[in-house]
Amino acid sequence: MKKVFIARTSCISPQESFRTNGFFSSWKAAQAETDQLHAIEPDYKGIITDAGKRRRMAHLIKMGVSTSLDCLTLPDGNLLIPDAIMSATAMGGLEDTEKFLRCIIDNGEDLLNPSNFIQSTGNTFGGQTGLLLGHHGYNVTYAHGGYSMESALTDAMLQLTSGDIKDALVTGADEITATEYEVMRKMGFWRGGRQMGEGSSSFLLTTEKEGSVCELAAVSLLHETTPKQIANSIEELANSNQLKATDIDLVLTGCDCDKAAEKEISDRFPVTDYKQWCGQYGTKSGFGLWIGTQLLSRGIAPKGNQWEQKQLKNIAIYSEYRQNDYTLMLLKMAQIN
Amino acid sequence: MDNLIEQLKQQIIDELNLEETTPADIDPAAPLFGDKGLGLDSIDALELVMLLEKYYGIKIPEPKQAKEVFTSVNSIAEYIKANKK
Amino acid sequence: MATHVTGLGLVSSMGLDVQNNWSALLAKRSGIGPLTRLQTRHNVPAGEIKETNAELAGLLGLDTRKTYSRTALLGMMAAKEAINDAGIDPSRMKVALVSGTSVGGMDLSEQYFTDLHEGRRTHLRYLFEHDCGASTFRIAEYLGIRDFITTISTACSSSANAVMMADRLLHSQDFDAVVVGGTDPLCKFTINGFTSLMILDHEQCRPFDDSRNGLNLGEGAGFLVLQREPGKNHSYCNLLGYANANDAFHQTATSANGEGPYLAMKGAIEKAGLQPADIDYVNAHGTGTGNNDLSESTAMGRLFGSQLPPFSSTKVYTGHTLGACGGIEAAFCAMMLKNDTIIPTFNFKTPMHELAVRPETEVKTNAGIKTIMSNSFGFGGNVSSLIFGI
Repeated sequence: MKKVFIARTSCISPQESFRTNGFFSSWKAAQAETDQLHAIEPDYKGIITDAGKRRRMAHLIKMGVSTSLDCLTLPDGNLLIPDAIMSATAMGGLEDTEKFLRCIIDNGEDLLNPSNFIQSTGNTFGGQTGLLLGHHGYNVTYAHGGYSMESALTDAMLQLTSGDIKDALVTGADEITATEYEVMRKMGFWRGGRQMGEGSSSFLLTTEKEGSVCELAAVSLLHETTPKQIANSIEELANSNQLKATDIDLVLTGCDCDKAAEKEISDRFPVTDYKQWCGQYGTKSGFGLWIGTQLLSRGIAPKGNQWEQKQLKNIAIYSEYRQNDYTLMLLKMAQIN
Repeated sequence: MDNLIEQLKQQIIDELNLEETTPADIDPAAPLFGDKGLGLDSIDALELVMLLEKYYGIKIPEPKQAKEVFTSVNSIAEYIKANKK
Repeated sequence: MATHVTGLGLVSSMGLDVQNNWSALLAKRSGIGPLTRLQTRHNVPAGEIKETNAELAGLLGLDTRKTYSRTALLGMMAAKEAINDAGIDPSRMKVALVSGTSVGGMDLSEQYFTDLHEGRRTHLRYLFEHDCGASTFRIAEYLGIRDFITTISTACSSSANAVMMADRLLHSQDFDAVVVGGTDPLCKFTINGFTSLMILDHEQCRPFDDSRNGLNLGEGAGFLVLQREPGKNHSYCNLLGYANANDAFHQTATSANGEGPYLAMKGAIEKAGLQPADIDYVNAHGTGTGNNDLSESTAMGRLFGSQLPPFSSTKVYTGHTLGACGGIEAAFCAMMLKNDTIIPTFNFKTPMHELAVRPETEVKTNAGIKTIMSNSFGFGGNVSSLIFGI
């Protein structure tokens, strides 16, 4: 069975993560005074150059398409066309969904804007990416809460390991909308320092080790689990990849609600919270995965409130979404033979 | 008629979010669709249907009819003049 | 490595189980009619299931005072039937669930969002049923599936794509069975959405007819059980091949030369190790819009040449059930193969003036069908073809 490597990445997040070293040149603590972490958005004109196509795109679509295109842009400026495109979004085009719903209510099911309806479907940024690339290959979108990103990665890994495809673009994106924020505020979700976030993360997965950043050794969805089982699962994931628990140099954690699971993991593994930089959203594990790839490729590791030069070898990413969806991923530094 | 044409141009720019276009860029006689002129597409046509209803109270029930009406800014203006109650 | 279809479940405006759907198909009895349950100002025919949510919950043995999205209820009903039909027990086997839906819990969202928008107090927690995954989670919870759960949302090809993922999971991750399909409810959101696109026919839809003037919407769910071995109770047919391609032409319309559909059909035939001439019947996407039927026919012409196999669209029975149609039509295909019967389309009189192709218009028994294809095309250019055979 073939191994899967991460060759290229791109990320738009509440941090300076897009086409910049900003995030890693200074440690940015969570902005505790706010409960919404909005993405730092690039000037889209330079990325989605077709004004005709760009003008209809909502916030989410622009983020998803931009990291996708950026991830595929080679150093010479040409675009790499992957065999397959897998996308992930927990909520899809929520902003357009809300606009269209308001349209229905306010105008009594009249004067309906078709653009809002069209863009409300979950597969819009994946479809738009295909459209802009003129890509006729496999194109699919997963929309299942905190499993969305991991489902898309699983699909890509299944097709890569079987040899059906050679490379795949996987992008996960979600957006903050005023309504979702407000609904969750009314339900008390943002109390106790929780922050809503948004962003888009893209990865080019390939079966070619050469030139890759690291190996994506495993992606795992955990159902009906307990804190102790989660910590055990990290160890099992290590074992099934020829590693011992002590070989896991770092667990990047993204916990929404489950404090017990977070504690169980930190009692047994060195941990760093990735969610402090991106906030809570369905595909935040894409951000966690991106941080993992950056630490491995830059040879840095968290130390207190700083980064230190240190080459980590194996990083696990643990994510929990609203105490319902739990996932694990394992990154291994690509060994040079 | 000239006022109507200028007003229409601005409404088209706003409704279709033509961010880099000014009213002066739009030739009222030029085709709205296809590669020449504004290069609008079928979704824009649907938004123009909505625009006519929203601002002028004119309903276009059949998509086929919309095609003729939306040839150019001039043709839309003529249609509005002929059908406005 | 074979993939056997060992169980089926169907819910549509024709009936709430496989048998009622099959009887209606054989009798050419459509489920499309005037809307009576859904409150909307649009007077369009649709494939509406007349049972209310509370009635559906009652039939499922759920607490009728609790609120479930219609998406979840329809899905539970079809998936439960599929599991019972296959005779599998998720509590004693390793079972995955892959579901496709386009609107998720929208039927609840549009109700409670209205309250929120107009400043009334409302049950906020029901808005948490909004996302596509929530309906799948409820189905999994109801059936006791806990080994792998995910949801695909690629508009109208959602459940066809789910079948592809299900097959990959079945053969790679040691699942005893994968329950796969899709579910979508009728709701104001989609009725208004398709109204804004001006592609809803105000009469019954007429796929492949020159007078066709749009689609009718429908609601329902269709689920299959896939296993590596013949089932305990049935082996309806095998899943032989599939492909997903991107038309990469337009956000909603399909290209005139049907590039995406052509690539999906061709890819599915290649994956199955077959030739175009091996296909005995095509269950077309056939929505009845001017664009789809012409583009799909053009693509079929490119692939099959002058040897176009018999084809039909079953959208005239169910309406277009969006994310569910791939699952529903896969179940129809399994029944057609098992009964060696082609289900025809109707409302067809005059071939399209641009491209004269004739769908099947009469029920054909002893049809001699061994290998059949099912097409599902969605917004965003996401098009998919599945091939089943015996």
